[in-house]
Amino acid sequence: MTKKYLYWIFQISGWGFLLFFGLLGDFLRNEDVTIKTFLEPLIFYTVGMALTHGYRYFIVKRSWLDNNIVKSIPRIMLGAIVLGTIFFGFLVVLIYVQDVLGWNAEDESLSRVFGGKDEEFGAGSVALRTTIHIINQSILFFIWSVIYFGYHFFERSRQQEIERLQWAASINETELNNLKAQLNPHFMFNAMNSIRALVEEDPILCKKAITQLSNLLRNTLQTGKRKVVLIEEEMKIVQDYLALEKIRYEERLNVEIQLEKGIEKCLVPPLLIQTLVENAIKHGVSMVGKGGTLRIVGEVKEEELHITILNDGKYNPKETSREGIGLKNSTKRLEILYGDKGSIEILNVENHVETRVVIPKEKINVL
Amino acid sequence: MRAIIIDDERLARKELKSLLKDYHEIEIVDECSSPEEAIKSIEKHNPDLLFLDIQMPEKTGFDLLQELDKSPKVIFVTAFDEYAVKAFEVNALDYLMKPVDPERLKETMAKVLSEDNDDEEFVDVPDRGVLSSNDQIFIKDGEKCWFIHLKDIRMFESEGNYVRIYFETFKPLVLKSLNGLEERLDPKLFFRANRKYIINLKWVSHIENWFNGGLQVVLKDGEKVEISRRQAVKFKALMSL
Repeated sequence: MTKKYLYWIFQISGWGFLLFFGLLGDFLRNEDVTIKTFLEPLIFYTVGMALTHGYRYFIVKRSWLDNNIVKSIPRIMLGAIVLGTIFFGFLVVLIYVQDVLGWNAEDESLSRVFGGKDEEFGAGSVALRTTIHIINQSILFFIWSVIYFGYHFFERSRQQEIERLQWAASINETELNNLKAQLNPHFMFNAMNSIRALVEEDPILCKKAITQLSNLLRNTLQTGKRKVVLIEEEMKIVQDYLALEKIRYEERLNVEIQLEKGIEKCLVPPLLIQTLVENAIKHGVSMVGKGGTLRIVGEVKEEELHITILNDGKYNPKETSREGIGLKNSTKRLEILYGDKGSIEILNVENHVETRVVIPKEKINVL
Repeated sequence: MRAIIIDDERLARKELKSLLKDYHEIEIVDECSSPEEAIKSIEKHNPDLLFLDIQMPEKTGFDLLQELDKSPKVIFVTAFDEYAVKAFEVNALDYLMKPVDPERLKETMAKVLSEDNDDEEFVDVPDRGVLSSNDQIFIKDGEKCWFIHLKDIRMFESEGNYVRIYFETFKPLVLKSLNGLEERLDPKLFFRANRKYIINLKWVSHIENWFNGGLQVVLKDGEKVEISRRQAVKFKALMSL
């Protein structure tokens, strides 16, 4: 709305400016001021404004503003000349009508426009004069175009700058969120707290826990960037993670891992199993007072990799809205990597929860 | 001060206990690994202070507090938990982040212990079962939590099975019955104005005569509550000491 408002302010003040000085010039030149002195420039510039307003409609409709400046220059030139010609045509008609009505003084008549009494210029002079008049009028429209397009190009580049900055900020935010999700601060601080308590109770276990925590951190940061990792690499992370959770939950957490032989050389997206195991503990085992068992089962069936995580507890899809980011990301990742050949589903089976992952079997070619 | 530590992780309890060793004013009377255990222990020991974890199996620390009629002082001890911390943006209340920084603990304890001394001066004769004006209750409505002293509550309004509690600029709704509440409130402080309202007498600004021999009370914040005819007799008796 404000933009439209601005447009009209420019239009009216621009043409109004010309009108004002046109009238001023007339007053200074003419001793006898008639209604014609007012009427002529008023009609003249109103038509000018109507023409440019129509031109604007044309520009918007043809979406000329979407092009870059260089491509627009010839169009602007051509547009100005066309408008200048039309305007001049109108001028001629206006003066001709006045001639017919006999309103014009001799020095203002149409014949003067095209060379007047200076016969010595000959036929060539009519063409030359016409061209000069058209160029004169075109300059007016060229200035209009420069203001109109100039404003839009300036506005657009400013808008693009804003968008670029917003985009950069959103990228930064996404990266930060990813990192935060990977590091899982809730887990980190709880682990540190347990480790602190271990300093006095069991210094040897404490040292081990610190090593596991640093391994976990390092591996999370490194593998997170890769497209796929070996299951054995992924399981190293999972095991460090589980060892730390075991310190925290003590006898409340039991872990069983059953991996088919040979599966360790298969490839999985990094941190996929880790994310799902973390979810299983966070929403499953940790929510059961007396604790529970977490089982990780990996097998190969018909060129497909089946990884299942079983945990005590109950899965409630409604409750996961807030923390379901990990699961959502994992599902998305599988979709990108494997299309409809990869899937994750979480089911309540009897009194435990099963997270089933199926992905195509891929192996590193060992030479 | 007698305190209870409530955390589902043994090591977390141990760590906190070792940090609290330096504070001789604090006597740890019990340790609980679940909210259920804690409720029994709180009844038994009637502690002055709780060190409370928020995320625990089955129930959260907030659930535990809601089940208590009156709450001891509470210091939340939690790991990184944006949601829990956000719940407290509405009123500054103490929480410690795991692993607990001993310096931060020192500040918190100084605050708790100084408040404890202030309270001593106002101690009403402990009346079993009845809450005094300095008692605080824990209120949770949706995502928001408040600890509020009874004296700051202007009135209670019955809404079906719920009670709306008016204090400061808030009006949270809690699952309680107005009748049950009335029994627990100090009759010198809170008055049952009619079927729907209990008002805090300290918040009464002025009183007008109303239809049918009833009264209308205007509270300091401008709320108007009608006192039914039957209650008006009691009210007059109470006020004309």
